[in-house]
Amino acid sequence: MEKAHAVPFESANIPAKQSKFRHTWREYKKSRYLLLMLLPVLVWYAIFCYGPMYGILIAFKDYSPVLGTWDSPWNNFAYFDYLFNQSPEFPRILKNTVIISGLNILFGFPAPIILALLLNELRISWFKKMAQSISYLPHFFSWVVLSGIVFLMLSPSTGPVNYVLGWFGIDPIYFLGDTRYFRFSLVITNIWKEVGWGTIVYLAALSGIDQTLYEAARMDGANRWKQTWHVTLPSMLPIISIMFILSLGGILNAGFDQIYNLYSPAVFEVGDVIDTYVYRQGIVNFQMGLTTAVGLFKNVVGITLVLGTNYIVKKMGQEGVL
Amino acid sequence: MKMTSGEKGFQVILFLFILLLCVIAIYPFIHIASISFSAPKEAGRFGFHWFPRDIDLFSWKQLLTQKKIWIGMRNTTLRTVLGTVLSLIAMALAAYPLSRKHLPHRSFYTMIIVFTMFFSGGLIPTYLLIRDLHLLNNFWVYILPGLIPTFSMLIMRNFFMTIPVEVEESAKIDGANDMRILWSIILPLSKPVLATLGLWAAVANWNAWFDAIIYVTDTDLKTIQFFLREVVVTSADAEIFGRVTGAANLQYETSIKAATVIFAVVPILIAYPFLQKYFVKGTMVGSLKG
Amino acid sequence: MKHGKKVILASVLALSLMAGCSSNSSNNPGTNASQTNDAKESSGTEKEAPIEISIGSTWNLPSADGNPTQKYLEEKYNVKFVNMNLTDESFKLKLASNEIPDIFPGTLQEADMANYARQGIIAVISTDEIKQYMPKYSADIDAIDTAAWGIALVDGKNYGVPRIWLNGRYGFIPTYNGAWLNKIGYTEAPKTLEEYEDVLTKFRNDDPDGNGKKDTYGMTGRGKAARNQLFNEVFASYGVNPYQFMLAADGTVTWGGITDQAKEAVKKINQWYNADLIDPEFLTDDNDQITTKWNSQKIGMKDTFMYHHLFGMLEQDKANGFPVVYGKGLIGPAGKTYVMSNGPLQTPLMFGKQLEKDDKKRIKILQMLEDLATNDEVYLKTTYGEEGVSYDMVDGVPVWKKEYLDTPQLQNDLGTGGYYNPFVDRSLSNAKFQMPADKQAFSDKLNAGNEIISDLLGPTPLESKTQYLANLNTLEDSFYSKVMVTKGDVEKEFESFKAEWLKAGGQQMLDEATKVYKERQEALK
Repeated sequence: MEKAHAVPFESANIPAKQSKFRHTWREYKKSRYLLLMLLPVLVWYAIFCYGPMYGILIAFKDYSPVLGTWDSPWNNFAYFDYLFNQSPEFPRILKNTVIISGLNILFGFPAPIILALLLNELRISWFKKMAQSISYLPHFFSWVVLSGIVFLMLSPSTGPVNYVLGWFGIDPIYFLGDTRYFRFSLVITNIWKEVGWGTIVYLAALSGIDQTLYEAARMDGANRWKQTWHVTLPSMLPIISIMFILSLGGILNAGFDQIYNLYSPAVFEVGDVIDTYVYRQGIVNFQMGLTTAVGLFKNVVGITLVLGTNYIVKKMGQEGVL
Repeated sequence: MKMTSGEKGFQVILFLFILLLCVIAIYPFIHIASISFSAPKEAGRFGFHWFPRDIDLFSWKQLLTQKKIWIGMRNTTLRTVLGTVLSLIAMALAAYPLSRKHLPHRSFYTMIIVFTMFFSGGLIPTYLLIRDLHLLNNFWVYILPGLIPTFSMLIMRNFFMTIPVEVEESAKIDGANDMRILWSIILPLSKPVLATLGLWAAVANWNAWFDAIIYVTDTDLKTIQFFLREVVVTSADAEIFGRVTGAANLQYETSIKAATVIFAVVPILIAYPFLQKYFVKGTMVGSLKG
Repeated sequence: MKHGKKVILASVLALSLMAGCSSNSSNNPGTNASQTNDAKESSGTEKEAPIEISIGSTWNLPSADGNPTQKYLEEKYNVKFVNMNLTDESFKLKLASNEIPDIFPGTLQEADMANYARQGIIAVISTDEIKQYMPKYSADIDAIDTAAWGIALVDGKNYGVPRIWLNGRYGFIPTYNGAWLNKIGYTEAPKTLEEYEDVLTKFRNDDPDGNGKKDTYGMTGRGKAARNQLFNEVFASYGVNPYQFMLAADGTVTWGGITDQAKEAVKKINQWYNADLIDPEFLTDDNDQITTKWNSQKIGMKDTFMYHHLFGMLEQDKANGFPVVYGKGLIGPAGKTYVMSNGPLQTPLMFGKQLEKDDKKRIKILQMLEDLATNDEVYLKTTYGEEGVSYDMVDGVPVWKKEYLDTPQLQNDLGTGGYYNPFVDRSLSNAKFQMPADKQAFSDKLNAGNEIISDLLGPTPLESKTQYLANLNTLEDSFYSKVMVTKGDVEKEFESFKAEWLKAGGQQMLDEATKVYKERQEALK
């Protein structure tokens, strides 16, 4: 990474008094092919991402379809007021959201890294390939389809999970109907669904590691564990750090589909999150504005976290997002 | 190379652990597939379904004789192939310049792109834009609005940044311009990451359903995911909508749903084994030396 | 290859624009529906240009434009339909983007109506006009429930054609596993709450499936969505639906969920739960699970289905291989054979704002709707297609040809059903066509003798309901699922819930409901 300082060759020759503009112009001219590549990309972002950006205004307006976004009246932060001051449930919902998605990051983020490393250690190559293609299967089913199977697996009376726990003398646990276990069940089932799919990017990173590094480590007498610690993990660190930063951006997205399909009134207390709350509000109240306001709030929190971690990660010498 | 006994033990435990993982990962597929091949009584049975008992092909016959299912499959395949190829091209066009440290105003361009990951105008203005671009009921609505997945693009960019600078400097001295370097040096070195991001794009395209609901009303342009949702999510209470269905269909509802789910998922599952060869160890080093 | 990518991208953009231009003619229904008429006028001189009507329905979407049902109606009424082909999601988005259909979907809720009315999206339509152009249909409504005329009112103005759902007049049927009943010595379904308790106890303890294991329960509940019929029949025997308005003893309107009847019912349920008579996993069960547990004889009683659902399950019952016994409402503290019901009143059929000024179109639509609801020929054509081709008349009732039943897609190809006809099975005049003799007999057998509990106000769009109901429902859902399984004092927990419910907007809702109810009673006098 240290070698990557591609300082333009002649930059030292530029006279200090040369105007900034001419300096910029020369740099642009030198990078013209790169800019030519970037141009259509920027046009695309301008049209498809920045074009509709004015819609953020809806978060601050009493949106009326007849008047449209621009002419709808301002509402004096009514949605934010409603969320933060009026809504009795919001503090609890915000707390649930942060806890569930925090647990998802804490346990769900390392899971595919660990699985990728384990797969990497497997010696039987046909089994390794097969395991890769099987472990990502649940990713392809939506939660609507999977929820019935999850209920079956975690059932206190007929589920195999509780059957196995019984071997250890543990009484049946009502994973999805008991407020003490519901969040935990969300995290576990989410790992089950996504872990195999998540390994793919790390397996790609693993495949890029220079084999000579392992040879050198073996020469030095490093065992497998030491090779993993000193060669494999450092080589994966760039991809791990960017994946981590970007995952923090979704801290207020606790996974609508999963929770909506797995929760029930019995666990509202611990399982109700921002998205499920807005969904229930929106259905009754046709509130495009509230939805937009909540989205805006979530994203401001997300981007703040991303910029913060990005700063820390860069301080630690890794490539960040920005 | 010989394995020590400790290592052998580790391999056995690892094997068993991964095997267990595979069993619970493959179960949903087996469960749903079994139900799709089962007669009503068996399909409606409470509990686990490890294999189809009381085999009955009625549901599959019912599903596969529907014309719209094949239309959906055609459209989904088309959007997946085209969407993946164009996405990869567009991502590379974005990622490569942004990965070069000498690009002027690089952090500004990165910033305005990253910004869009967090802020968007939402559904209504996006819909109005799509309408004004005449993309409603237009196949390109499946491709263009999602052309550059920014998350993937950033990963590609970071991967490009890890490629040693010497590689391209030597090419520069040989007189190659940036486009040539991207095409003939950077991309071949990036096969694993291209395979990964290509797979991501393909699966995202395959699984997308919202655009088909919002932007497309023409049945000939609907995707398989649209029909899947129609079957899986719509109320079982068909009669309330004034539709009369034969007793046979009502009875087979569970297994017809299951068959639709399996039908919609199998083609994309086949894609991965084809890409797997790019994840084999040492791909990158090999090409570096070659 | 240098410029390859740029060229591709450019051509992609160009292609998209070209393709867009060639297909944009059908993109904008509703908003500019009237413009197209002018151009055509010069050609057709003797015949008036057809009126263009856009349909926002999300029911039974026809396979293609120009289907037989559409052609039939277009010719008969000299209109031209614009099929918007919407789903529930895209309908809401189009509306938010100010693309407003002439005829709205029939799946909307009363809260939607209140919002649309206040946002100026739907048309005010006078009750007199409806009665003038839809006389037979209006008489049908009156015969079922005159309160239907009140539920289209928002802020004193009428916003739609009232609708009733005929099956809504009936209730949810307590249904038992006949083999199990026999095993425990019952020759018929339990009639009282005490007998019911006995049945639950024996279904749990007396090994009714004879497998030697204690693995059966009398019932489970629809706990995953508590407000949809959770322990229907128990609440009914106490004469209360916890999620509906009802009349209190003092003549004011109250909410079922906070009444003493509901408290007593929930005490009973709690007692049963703690005695292990109810499947403890009811909290996460929904109708799918109830059905599979029933099929596999894990439970022996279900009460979340109406006669027409049960009619559709007859084949499955045959496959299950055990007899099914249908009971009546349980006589309990309320002293009547009550069953829970949705009630016949539905959210009215709404129309786009643009119809307010377009008298010609509005009247044309009303005339057409009258025929769709009450004219035999029009009704049969739009719901069953062509006699001898897609259906046969058997004893005065249309019966689909076999291939149309086996492949429902063929019905979409015809364009029949609720898409063009929002009154399928929703008017007394056409009820005769929806009821073959066997179904009628089944309905009579199951529904006779039951009295229904339904919402006092139906889907009336109360302003306080729009504002508070979502939160109140969450509160109530959580409370009920918790109190049913509590080991604590039900009485105490109930009273604190009641206080919280009233404080969180419930009182406002009761006040408004009482006011509306009294106004309605006045109007009737």
